[in-house]
Amino acid sequence: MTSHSGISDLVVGQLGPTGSFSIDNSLPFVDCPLPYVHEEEIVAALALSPSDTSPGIDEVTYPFIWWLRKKWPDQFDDMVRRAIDSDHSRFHCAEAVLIPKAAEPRYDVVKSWRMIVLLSTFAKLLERIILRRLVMSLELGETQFGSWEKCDTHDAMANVLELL
Amino acid sequence: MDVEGGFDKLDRGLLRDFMAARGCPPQLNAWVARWYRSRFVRLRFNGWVSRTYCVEISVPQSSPLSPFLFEAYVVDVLAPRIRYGPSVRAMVSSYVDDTTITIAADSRAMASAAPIELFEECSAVAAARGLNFSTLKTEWNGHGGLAWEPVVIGGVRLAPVENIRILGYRVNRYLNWSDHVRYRLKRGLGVRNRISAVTMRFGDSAGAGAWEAFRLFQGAYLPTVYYGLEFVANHSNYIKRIQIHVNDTLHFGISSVYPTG
Repeated sequence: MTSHSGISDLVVGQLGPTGSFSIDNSLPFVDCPLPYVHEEEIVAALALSPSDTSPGIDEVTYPFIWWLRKKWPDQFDDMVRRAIDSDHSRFHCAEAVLIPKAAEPRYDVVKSWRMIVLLSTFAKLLERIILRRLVMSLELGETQFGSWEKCDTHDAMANVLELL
Repeated sequence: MDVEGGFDKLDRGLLRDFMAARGCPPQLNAWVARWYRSRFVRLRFNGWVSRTYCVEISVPQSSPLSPFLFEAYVVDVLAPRIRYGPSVRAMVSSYVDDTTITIAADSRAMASAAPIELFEECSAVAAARGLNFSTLKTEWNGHGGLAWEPVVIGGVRLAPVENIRILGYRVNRYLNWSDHVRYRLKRGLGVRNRISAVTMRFGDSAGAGAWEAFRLFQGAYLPTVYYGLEFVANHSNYIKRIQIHVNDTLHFGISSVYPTG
């Protein structure tokens, strides 16, 4: 169990049911196409993208994506629309960097590791476009601060203090 | 209180049903379901990369969609339970998986009973979704200058804590910010020491020179000590303490990079 592969099997096993490397094709791609993605949605999603996050396993950074959009805006927007409506499996692989917590030296327990998941930056851009649509269509309640746009921990804390 | 496991325990099938029930447009719901099917992950540690695993449940951390989807998943657990009565006002608020029950009551007995009832209520709904609240991470404190007795929450006897952590803010029983400022400055000192250790260990020749130290100061030290600054801005004594700490760190950093001796 002390081998790297033994530890990784145990850690992933504790995260939940896992399976072999396979694509689940039970959900077809063409059943419910999304409404057209407008240029403003892409620009808004790009504006919310931070510049200092690590890239995913495809090594594509946000500055590169911004440069791409600036250089070929029409082609870039078309690429985003195609990516949203096409096979998503190319974006589905993430890399989780495990950093041991000093206070908990049990390496076979998932809680002993701090996990930093690196996702594809382009996939995150697509998610921001969808997130914007979800936020506009779903109301989650006035005390769920994580779902509000432009709300952060400060607003949640201010709400608590107001009641007190 | 904290939802144990959080994103890792989210059942994507149930999520789809909950979102449909809340009126999510079918195209969006189908897109989210497709987006999260067959996620793969590989682990990296000690410079070694594992094989690729297929993860059947959960939504990934660091994904912009995950916090919103998690909240959609637990929205009924932490449904806006704001209750106003003549003698008790209660509110359950949450920020992703961190939940706070706030009670304002006329008497200590009422203030002690109300959170237990709300906790049990939330726990029962959470259990139906395969979630539970970690009692180890659940803490409480009482205000009003009274002596508070321990309460039994989730079968565990919990004594009031001196200062409670709510979303990274430290609130003490006197509802002032002294413990918060002390805690943030202590954390800031730890960050300063780690920056110093990194620059001393690697130095200019290994890519940890003055510029990198300054970037770490900006990116790690300042956010640590300035967290919650908006709440203490009107208290000049706290601001002075923070400013002295920051100045001291700047002086320490500059003198270690450009020693006068």
